[in-house]
Amino acid sequence: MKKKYVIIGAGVAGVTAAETIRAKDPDGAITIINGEPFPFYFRAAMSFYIKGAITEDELYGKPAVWAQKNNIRTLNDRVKQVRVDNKEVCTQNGLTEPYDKLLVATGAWPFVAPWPGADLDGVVTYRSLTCARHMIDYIKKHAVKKAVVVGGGILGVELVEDLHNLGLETTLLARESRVLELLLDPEGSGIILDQMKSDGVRVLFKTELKEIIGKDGRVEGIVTSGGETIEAGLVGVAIGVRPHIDFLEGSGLVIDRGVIVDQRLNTSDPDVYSAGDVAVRKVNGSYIPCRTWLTAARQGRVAGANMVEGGEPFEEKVFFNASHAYKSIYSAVGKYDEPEGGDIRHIRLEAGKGRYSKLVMDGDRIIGGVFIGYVTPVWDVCRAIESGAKVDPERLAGLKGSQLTEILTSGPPLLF
Amino acid sequence: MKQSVAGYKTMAMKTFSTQLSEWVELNVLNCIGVDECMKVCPAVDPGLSIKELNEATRDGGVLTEATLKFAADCVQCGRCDSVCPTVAGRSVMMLKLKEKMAESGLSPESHKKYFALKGHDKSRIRQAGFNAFMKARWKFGGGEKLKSEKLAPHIDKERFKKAEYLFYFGCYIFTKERSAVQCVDMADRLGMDYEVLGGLISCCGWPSLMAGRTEESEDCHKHLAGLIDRSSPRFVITGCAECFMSLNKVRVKYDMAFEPLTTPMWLNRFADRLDLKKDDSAVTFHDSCHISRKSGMPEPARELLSRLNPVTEMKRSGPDDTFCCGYWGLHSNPANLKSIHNSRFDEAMGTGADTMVVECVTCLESFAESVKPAGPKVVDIVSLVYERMNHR
Repeated sequence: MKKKYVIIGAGVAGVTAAETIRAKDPDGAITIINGEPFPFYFRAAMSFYIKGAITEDELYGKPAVWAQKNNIRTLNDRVKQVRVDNKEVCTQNGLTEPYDKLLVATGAWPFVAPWPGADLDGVVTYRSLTCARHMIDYIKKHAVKKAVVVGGGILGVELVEDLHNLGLETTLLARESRVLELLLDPEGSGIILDQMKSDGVRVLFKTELKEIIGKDGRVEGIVTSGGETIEAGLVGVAIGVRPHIDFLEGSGLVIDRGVIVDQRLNTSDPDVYSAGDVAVRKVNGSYIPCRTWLTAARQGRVAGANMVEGGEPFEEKVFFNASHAYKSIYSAVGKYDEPEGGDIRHIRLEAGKGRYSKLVMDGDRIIGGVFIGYVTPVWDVCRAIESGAKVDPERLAGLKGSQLTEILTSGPPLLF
Repeated sequence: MKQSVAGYKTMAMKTFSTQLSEWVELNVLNCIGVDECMKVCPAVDPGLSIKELNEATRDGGVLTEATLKFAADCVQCGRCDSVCPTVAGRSVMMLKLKEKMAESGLSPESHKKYFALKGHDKSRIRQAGFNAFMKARWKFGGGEKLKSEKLAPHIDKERFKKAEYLFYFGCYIFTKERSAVQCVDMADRLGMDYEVLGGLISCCGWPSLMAGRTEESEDCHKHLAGLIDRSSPRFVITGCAECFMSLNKVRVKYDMAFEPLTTPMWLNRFADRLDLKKDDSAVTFHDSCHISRKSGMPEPARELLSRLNPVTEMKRSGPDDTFCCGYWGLHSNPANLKSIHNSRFDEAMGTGADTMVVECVTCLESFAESVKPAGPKVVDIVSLVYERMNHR
């Protein structure tokens, strides 16, 4: 009997799961239900696509023949209901798909607060290629020249970059006192902020959106919490994302800030798994979200393997995040945001010319690090954190990031 | 300067091939497709897409014609690594692709020829045929009496005296360039306690690695470790960037006590006694990929150069931007090599300097293939010091 695998979501978790299933079960029937009108794409490369650095074809993450070659059926549809008792999912196009094993990998989607005027045309969110396409079309159609972005997190900063690259005069409203508060330390945030400012982006901190104003159903500007009115033909909202779980209502799966999964990424139903941004692992009472592309991919791999044979735990690793923000590449790993005090020391290695690096030490052990502009030593730092290697903090002070590589690779038994 | 980081020694040592597989398993997923690596690559054909590359690299992936060509052409300059926002280590993934190429018997003719001559049988590297080839290619001896006298006794010898310094020339003991013999000559003048290791049985394993023969490369490391051990040096000096990389790996893997030095690191230590003549004419400096970028050490050569000449930097210089020398074309097609060299020469001439100094013999030899009277002179930093050393 061929096993039937159904995967909801064609993001990196879903696609990696499908690939893993195919490698382990050559005969199983795999169906991916994709709610977006595009095949799997490199979400984090979207801003490179928008600024024209890569083509649409390059944005897509798999060769055109991938699904066919791997004998994976893809449906362009959305799931409206999951019936775990009958082991089937129902779609908006009226299909009923039976499954033996199901993966929920629908990701997370941005939300818009109920501000006055939030329903006006030109209030956009930014997360998926669908969002981006809609935004670009709107800008062209209405010849938008000015924009406001709400939210100083990674999506907000990415959106500011895109709008700047599209030639719009942009203002960013951030509730916090700096950009990328959850991803970087204050000095790192400062580097990104300087790059934005030198491009003419206006940034207002400790500022929230109070009201969106418009005319004839279209956005014309906003009013800030400080009472300032700013003219804008487009308002980009990037105040946060929520797991995409509406369709799971009534399914009986345990939901709490996302689909709750155990270490094997199994949900409360033995035949249903979940991976990526929609899933939340509950370990010893604390909730662990996915957060990054690499984690989502790794979860997809574990979930896929477990859908075939079960048993593989998702291995917790040192926190690793490396990506691009505005014009920089950056990385923050381990306990990069552990505040200074007691045995915890922050050792700054390098600063200037768009580069910055810092290690967080607990006594003589490295527990975290932040790198901007030059990120090469990051995996070495992760290995040092993982192995609990001892390093004399005095030797680190005043080093450059590149010299750090030399010191750290003198230890780990890496052969390349 | 180097110091082990305690804690690592207790970690179980995995084979090179296993480490590669683990790296690829993780980092093929880590790739977010921004294409930055492909844009800075001196070897890739523009038609090859990152998704095709990823598909071929991953476990079970099949090599296509384009990925196979890229696997053969990749020079391991590491330029891709420093621009990747997710630190996915494309150059390391390329080693896996090279390994796949070699394992499936699809290596290009140039690799096959090279290894047919070099030979390898796991425990010991056969050298006779290859030595003859190298001698012919690099015109060893070639009437240079001094060189033959000084270096010939050391080639592929297996008995060593204990010495504080070990010059490790590897295969470049055969080179027609004079850096190796100049090192030994300077060491004599400085009254150093030294020994010499060179020839083919002390291969650093890099050519094997570049050709995807990872197991063979590991064997080379092992054999090299054994040879170095016989001399129990405190310092091992090499003027080759690939040898330097290998020395670092060998030292860690076999928990050895020596400290690897590049030739500029060594000469800086003796700076006070070299009594160098300073010259006012500006020179420019070509960073080695494996020293400046991969080992993160752009400074020692510049420090040494500052004692000799004013340095004007090329546009692409330093750990981030330096450009590959082309690895003397062994792993790249000749047209590619020419264009790499010509663009580098133009850049060097653009600084106004007529001399481009290198710190790695591979760079020296690679560029030597294309040096023209109209272009810059390419000089090894060792030779420059040798000429200016105020001897007698």
